[in-house]
Amino acid sequence: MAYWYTVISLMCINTILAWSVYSSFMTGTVSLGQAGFFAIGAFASASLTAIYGWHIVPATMMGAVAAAIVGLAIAIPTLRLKGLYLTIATVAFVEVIRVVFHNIKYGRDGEFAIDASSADARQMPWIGPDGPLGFRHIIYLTEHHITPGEYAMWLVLLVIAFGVYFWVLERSRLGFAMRAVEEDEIAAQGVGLSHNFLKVFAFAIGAAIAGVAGSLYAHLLTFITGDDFNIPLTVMMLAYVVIGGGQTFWGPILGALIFTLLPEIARETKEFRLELFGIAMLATMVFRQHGLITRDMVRRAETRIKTAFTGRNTIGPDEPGAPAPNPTKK
Amino acid sequence: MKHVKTLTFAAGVSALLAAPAMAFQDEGTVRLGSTEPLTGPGAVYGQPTIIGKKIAIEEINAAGGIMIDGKKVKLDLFSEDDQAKPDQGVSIFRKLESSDDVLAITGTIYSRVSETMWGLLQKKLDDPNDTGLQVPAMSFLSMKAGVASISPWAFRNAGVECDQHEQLIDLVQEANGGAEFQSVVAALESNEAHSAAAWRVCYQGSLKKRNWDTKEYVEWFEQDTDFSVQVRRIRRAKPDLFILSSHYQANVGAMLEMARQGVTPKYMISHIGADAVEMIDLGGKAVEGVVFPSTAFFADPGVKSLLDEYSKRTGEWYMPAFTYLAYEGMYLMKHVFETAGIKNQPDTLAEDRRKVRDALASLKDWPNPMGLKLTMGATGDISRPYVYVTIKDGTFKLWWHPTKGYMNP
Amino acid sequence: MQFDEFFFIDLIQTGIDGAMLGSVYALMAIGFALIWGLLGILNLAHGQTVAFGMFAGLVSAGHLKLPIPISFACAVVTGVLVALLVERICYRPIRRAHELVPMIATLGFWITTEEILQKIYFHMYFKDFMPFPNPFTMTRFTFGEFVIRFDYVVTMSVAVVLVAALYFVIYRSRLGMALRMVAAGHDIAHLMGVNVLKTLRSAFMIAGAFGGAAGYLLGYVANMANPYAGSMATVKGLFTMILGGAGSIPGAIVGGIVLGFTELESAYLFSFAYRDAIAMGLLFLLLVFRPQGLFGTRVEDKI
Repeated sequence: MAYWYTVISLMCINTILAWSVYSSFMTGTVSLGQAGFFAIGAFASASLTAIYGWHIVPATMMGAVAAAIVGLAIAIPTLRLKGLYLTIATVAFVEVIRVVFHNIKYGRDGEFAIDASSADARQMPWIGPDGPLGFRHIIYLTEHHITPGEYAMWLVLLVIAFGVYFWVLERSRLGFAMRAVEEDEIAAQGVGLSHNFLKVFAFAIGAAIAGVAGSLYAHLLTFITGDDFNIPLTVMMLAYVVIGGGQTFWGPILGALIFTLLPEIARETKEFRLELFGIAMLATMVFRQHGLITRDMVRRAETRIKTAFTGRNTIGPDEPGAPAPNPTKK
Repeated sequence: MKHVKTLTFAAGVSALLAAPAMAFQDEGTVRLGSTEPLTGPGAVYGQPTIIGKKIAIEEINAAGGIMIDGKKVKLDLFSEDDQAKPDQGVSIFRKLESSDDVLAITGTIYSRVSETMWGLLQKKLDDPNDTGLQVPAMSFLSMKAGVASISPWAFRNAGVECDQHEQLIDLVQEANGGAEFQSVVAALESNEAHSAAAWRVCYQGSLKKRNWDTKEYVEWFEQDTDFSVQVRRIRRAKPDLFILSSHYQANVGAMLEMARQGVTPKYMISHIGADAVEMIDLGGKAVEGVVFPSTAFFADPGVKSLLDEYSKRTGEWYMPAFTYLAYEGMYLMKHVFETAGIKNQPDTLAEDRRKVRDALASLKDWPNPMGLKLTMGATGDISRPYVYVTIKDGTFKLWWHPTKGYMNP
Repeated sequence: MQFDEFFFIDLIQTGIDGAMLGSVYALMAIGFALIWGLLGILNLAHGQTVAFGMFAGLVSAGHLKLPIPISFACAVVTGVLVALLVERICYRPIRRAHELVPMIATLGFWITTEEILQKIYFHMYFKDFMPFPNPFTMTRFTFGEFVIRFDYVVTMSVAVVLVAALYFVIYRSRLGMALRMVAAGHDIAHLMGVNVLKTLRSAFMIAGAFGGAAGYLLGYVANMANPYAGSMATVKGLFTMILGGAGSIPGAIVGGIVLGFTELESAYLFSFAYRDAIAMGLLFLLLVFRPQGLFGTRVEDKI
C-alpha cells in the first residue's frame, strides 16, 4: 500500500504544481518559471527542517514566503513583457536558479548512520546542500514517524484546501477581474481594473504555491539536487495545465493526475512508456484543443448537480459568468 | 456509454490496487526486486546491467535454483524501470518493498536515484523511533562516494572508489620511478555528481595526503563540445600527471582537443566513467594512454563465459565492468539467501529481510564467480582487488594487475 | 583566469573559437526564428530535426560511406521530412487554437521521437554515443599565435552559404514575398491571394532544412552523434533566438555568435561553474530592458 500512498503523494504534489502555473495563467501570464520557485521552496524548507530542526509546517510556510518574495522580484520587472517573451524570461530564471542550487554549499556536519572508518566515508555526512553532491538526509518524515499513508492524507487535505481557494477565487470579484485581464488587458484597464496589481498578485501566489509543493517534494524524496529543477520539469508543469484545460481549476487537477498516473499504469508496457506518454500528450492537444475539461463542461456538470438537488435549473443566461467562454484568443 | 467507460476504468484501477497473489516458498520461488533505467537516457547503463542479471538468473535457475529451508526454489526477478528519475525511483522502491514483498531490492545504476531510494531506509538499526524501511538494498554501481553509508540496509559491490584512486596514484608514482610529479593537472566535469564527489572526496584527499598541489585545475560540463579554453590552460602547465574526474563523453572531447593542441601528459588517469567502449569508438588514437580502474576486466579468463554470452546477446565485443558486477550480484544474493537461514514465507518476510541484511553485512571471504574472495566492509561496500586498464593500440589492455604487476606501462 | 603574458592572446583566441562555435547555434536558431516570426508559436519539436539530421548524417557518412556533400544533403532532406511531419501532426490540425496548444503538442512530439530515436540507436549500435565521421578533425590553420580549427571554418562557411541562400529566397523569390506577406498577417496574406497553408508548409520545410544542416555540423564539430542532440538544440536554439530578437533572422545569426562567444569567454574570464547562470542572467536582463532582443523591432501596444 505504501507504494500507492507514494503515488498519491506525487499526484498531490503535481496537482499543486499545476495549480501554481494556473494561478498566473488566470491572468493570461504563461509562466515557465515554476521549477525555480519549486526549487526555492524545496531548498528553503528542507534547510529549515534538516539543518535547524524546525517543524515541517512553519518550514513549508517559510519556503512559500521565500518563493513568493522571489516571485515578486521576478514579476515586477518582467510585467512589461508581452506573451511568450515573459515565458522565455521565466525560463532563463529557472536556469539561473538551477545553476545556483547546483553550486551552493551551506549547512552543518551530521552524524554517521553507521560506524564507518573506510576512506570512502572519510567526510562526515553533510546536512545541507553540498554543491553538485546534492542535499542529503532530509529525513524529517522518518524521524517524526510520519508514515507514507499519513503524509499522503495530509497532502490530500492540502490539495482540497487549495482547491477550495481556487473554487472561491473563481467565483469572487477578484477571480472575474483576473479573467478580465486575461481576455483583454487594455479593456480591463479601461473599466478601472489594475491589471498590473492583479498580474503581480497572481504570479506571487503561484510562486508561493510552487514553494509549498517544493517543500512537500523535498521531504518525500529525502534527497534533492539543483539539477532536479530543470527546464523539462518546468515545461511538464505547464503541460498539465494546457492538457487538463486552463479555463477552470479542474483542468490542472486532471492533467496532473493523468500524467502522474499514466507512467504507473503503463508500467506493464515496460519499454514503450515514454512513447505512450508523448503520444497521449500529442493526441490530447490535437483532439481537445481547450484541454480535457472546459468551462462549459464544468458548468453543465454544476447545473446537473443543482438540478438533481433542487429539481429546477438554476443557471440562467442572466447569471454572471454565464456567457459562452471565449478561450481562444489569437 | 460514458458510464460504461467509467466503470471499466474504475475496474481497471481497482484491479491494479489489489495486492498480487502471494508466491513464496510454497510456490517454489524466492522474490528479488530489481530496478534499472530501462527507458530514457539511462537505458545505456540499465540494459547491460539487466542482461548481466538475467544471464546469472537463467544460469542459477537452470542449475535447479536456490536451496532455501531444505527446498530448491527458483529465483524470481521483479524488474522495474525507474527511468533514472528520482520520483519514479521512490515509488518503485515502495512498490517493490510493500506491494511485491520482495526479499531484497537490487539497483539502481544512478547514484542520484539510489541516494533517493536509500534515503527511505532505516538510518539506525534496531531503532524503534526510526520508521524508515527495513529491506536490504544493494546496488551494483552507484559509485558516488559515500552513498552506501546512508543506511545500514544499503550495500554496494562495485568497490570503494577512493581506494581505487589512492592505489592508482601510488601506482603511477611507482611507475614514474618513485619521482615526484613536476606538474599535476586536474580536470573536473563539474555538473556531474559522481565526478564532483570523486574529485572532492577522493582525488583531493589523495593529493592533500601527499602534499601535492595542482599546477592547474580546470572544469567542464558533461555535454560540452568545445574544450579549447580548458586545454590551452592545461597545455601551458605542461602536465606530467593529468587527472580526469570525468566520464567518457567529456573525456573524449577533451582528449581530442589535447591531441589537436599537442598536449601529451606522461600519465593520464580517470575514474570508472572511462570504462566504456565509446572511449575508443569516439576518441580513436587521442585517448590512448589513459588509465582507469576496473573491477572485472573483460578479457579476464574468469569472465570468459559471461563475455561470450553477453556478446551473443548484444553483438558487442566489449563488456563494461558493471555487467559483470550485476551478474556477480545475483550469485551473491543466491549465496546470502542460502546461508541466512530464511524461511521464505509471507509471514516471515520481515524476519527474513533482517536475516538477509545481517548475512550481507557479515559477508566474509565469499568466493565470487571470478574466484576472488570478497568481504563486506563497515560502510556496506565490498572492498575488492582492482585491476587498472589502459587504452593501447585501439583496444583495452591491462595496465596493472594485483598478481601480475605492471603489464603495459 | 590569470593575468599573464598569454592573457590577451587567449582572450582573442577564445573569442574566435566562441564565434565559430556560435555559428552552429545560429543555424539551430534560424529554424526557431522562422516559425516564431511567421506563426507566433514555440516549436519545441524543432530540435528533433537537428537530432534526426545528425542521425541521417551518421548513417549516410558513417555506414554507407557516402561522400560528405551527399551525406550532408541526406541530413538536410531528413530535417525537412521531420519538419513536414511536425507541421502535419502538431501544427495544421490545431492552428486556430491558443498558441500554447501547438507548443504542448510539439512537446509531445519531442518526447516521443527522442525516445524512438534513442531506441533506434540502441537497436542498431547498443549505445547512444556514436563516432561521427570527420576526416579533418585534427587539421588546423595557424596564424602566428592564433589557431583555427578546419572543421570550424567549414561550419562557418556552410552557415554563411545557407544564410545567403535564405536571404535570396526571402527577398528575391515569389515564395519569399509570400513568406513576408504571411509574416505581416495571415488574414491579410489570404486576402491578397497568398495560399497561407502552402506558404507555412514551405516555412516549416526551410526551418527543417536548417535544422538538418545544424545537426550534421553539430555532429561534425563534436565528432559524435547522439539521440539527445534534439534536447540540447531545442534549449540552445531557443535561447539564441530570444537573445537575437524573437522572429528575426539576422537576430538569430548574431544571437548565435554572441551566445557562443559569451559561453566560452565567461568560462575563460569568470567562474566556470556559473557559466550557464551568467549567460541566462544576461539573457534575463536583456529581456527585461530590451524585450525585442538585440535585433527585433518594437511591437506597439494596442492603445
